[in-house]
Amino acid sequence: MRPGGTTQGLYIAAADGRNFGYVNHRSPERVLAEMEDGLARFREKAAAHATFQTARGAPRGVESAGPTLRRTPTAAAVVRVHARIGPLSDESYSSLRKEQRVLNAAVGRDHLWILEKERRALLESAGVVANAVQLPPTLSARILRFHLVDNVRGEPEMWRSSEVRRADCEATLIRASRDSRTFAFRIEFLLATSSGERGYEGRLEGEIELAAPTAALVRFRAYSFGEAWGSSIYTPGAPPGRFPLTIAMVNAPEGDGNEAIVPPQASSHFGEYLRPALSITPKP
Amino acid sequence: MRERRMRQGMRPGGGAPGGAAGGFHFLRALVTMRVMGNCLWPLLVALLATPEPPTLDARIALVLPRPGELRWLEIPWRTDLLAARAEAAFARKPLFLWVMNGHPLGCT
Repeated sequence: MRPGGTTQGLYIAAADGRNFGYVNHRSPERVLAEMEDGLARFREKAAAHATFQTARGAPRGVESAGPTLRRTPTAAAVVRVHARIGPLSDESYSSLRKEQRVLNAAVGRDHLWILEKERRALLESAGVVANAVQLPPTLSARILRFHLVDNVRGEPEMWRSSEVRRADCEATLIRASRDSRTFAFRIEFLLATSSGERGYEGRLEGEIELAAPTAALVRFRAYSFGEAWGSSIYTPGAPPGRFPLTIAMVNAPEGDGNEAIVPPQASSHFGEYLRPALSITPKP
Repeated sequence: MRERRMRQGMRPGGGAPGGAAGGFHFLRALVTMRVMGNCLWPLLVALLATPEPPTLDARIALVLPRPGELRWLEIPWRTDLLAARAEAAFARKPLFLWVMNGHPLGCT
């Protein structure tokens, strides 16, 4: 690793911290070769070593490395968020270099938190079937700013409150039973940087079913389709001009370990993620 | 394969936004054709070749990861580094660490 270079990558290490291999590359061949070399070095130098029996433990007072990850707030529901680019026109596709084609063919992955108080607010606003309701403002703002992003090529910049240029929201109670309420919602949006170099314009449609009276999330699914343009600092290589970007959201199954552990990308700005604001007032 | 899907895959939504994001439905095309006559057969054929998935679930299914994109979840990753070190020491095995800014399990 070069001084000043990134520490991100793949490592082969002994339990006592000694490093036996490092690679930060997407090529499967290079990664596999480094893994095999690292394993050989480990076997040669570490496997029979006495120090191997005593991996240095956590610093005093630290019981686990877990707290480096944001914990899912109590009773927050977790939704999987996935994004894809395409289909691209022949002209757009042909303009991409080989590695850009690979990156743009990937699937974006993130998680969305829906807080208990947001679900309760929605449930309490239900009224009767066909009634218009308001999506909790923090939920619609969280989706708009942190989850309608092009993360297909990696970690994108999130939208600032001022970059939400248009957000026309509709929500309706469409089904009511003794045990649950189902709401349909729709958001027409325009998200764009002040320079206009990066943006996403389209429509999100979805449904959310909540248990009554607990407000537990029974089912959530949403789909966004629109045109995006531009790249973030760390996600270069977007297709030229405007390109189709689709985003799907589905609730995570109960007990899925990864969803319980891995927080949303934007939750590193914890308070803002939980209580996001918009510069505009979404039109109901 | 993935690249071909990106290039030629089924149109997951319906056209461009700003008025066109609502999509072009098959039924509307059919009605238009009946009104305007058979000169629109080529248009109908083109629409049938790239149908809009009819339901929300069908549109979502086109975006969700496919089995080949979930194979990395077959690896029993540990998410607690110190616990993994203790386990590696006990098993006399090396650790394979995936270290990223952000969250490797949640975002590519």
